[in-house]
Amino acid sequence: MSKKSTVAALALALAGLASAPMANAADAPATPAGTEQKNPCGPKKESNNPCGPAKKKAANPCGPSNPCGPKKRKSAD
Amino acid sequence: MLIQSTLCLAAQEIAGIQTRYAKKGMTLSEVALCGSKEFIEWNHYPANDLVDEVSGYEFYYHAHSADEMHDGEHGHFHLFKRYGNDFHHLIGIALNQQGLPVRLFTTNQWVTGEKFVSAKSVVAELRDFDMATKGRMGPIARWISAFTKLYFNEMEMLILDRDDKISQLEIEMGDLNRALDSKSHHVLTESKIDLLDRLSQHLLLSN
Repeated sequence: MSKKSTVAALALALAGLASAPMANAADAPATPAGTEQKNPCGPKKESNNPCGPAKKKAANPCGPSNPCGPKKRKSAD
Repeated sequence: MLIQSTLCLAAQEIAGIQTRYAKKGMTLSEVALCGSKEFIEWNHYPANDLVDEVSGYEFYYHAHSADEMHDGEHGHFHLFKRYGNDFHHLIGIALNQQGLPVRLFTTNQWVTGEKFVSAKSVVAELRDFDMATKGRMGPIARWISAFTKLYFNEMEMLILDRDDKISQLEIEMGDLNRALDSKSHHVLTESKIDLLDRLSQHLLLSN
């Protein structure tokens, strides 16, 4: 395959894809079964407790899951 | 500087992986969610990050809350190199909703809680980024490994500029630790990218 057709094949395949849904807030209400979400790619859904206290943000919001290293498995004995 | 054949192989790997997923109707952004049906802000995908304990490299994908996301972006990968209890953030790679990478960025120290080391060290770690991962995350790991080759020069520049930015902040704030912990400085350097254009430049004419 030529370089043009490789890139064109990728562009064509990508063009046929639906946009991936955006992230939802953890406390966003779930969409009731059988009802279509009006704006699946729209902004964050309203919080269950819109007037509640704001969640405290993590000190290192983008750090790895296990900052002190991968969890070790317990030994057999 | 990477040699042309390395860039060509990286371009082929990226195009191949992304085209195979696209033909199955999947964007890379969806694949990055590791089969999860829900995409929740701030959650890590995979949940405990993808870790290669042999090489020390790891990454995960996530999205911030909607008000913090760039227009058109779906989420981003964070790449790390670990040494025992210490780890270094290498680079961030943001994807759009079609799963195309659209932006590269570096972050301030407080953002990841990393042990901050010089750009020279980070660049050396990035140069060797390679993860041997089996299973369904294998192609994503290969895609990221190839991506760090294809965009190595841009990433290197961003990391070097990151240190310049930190030096500038240190002068302004009078203290390095204050600069590294400045909550008003989250992303330190960033650049937009165009993958299809880059692939066109590096795929072999005769392949």
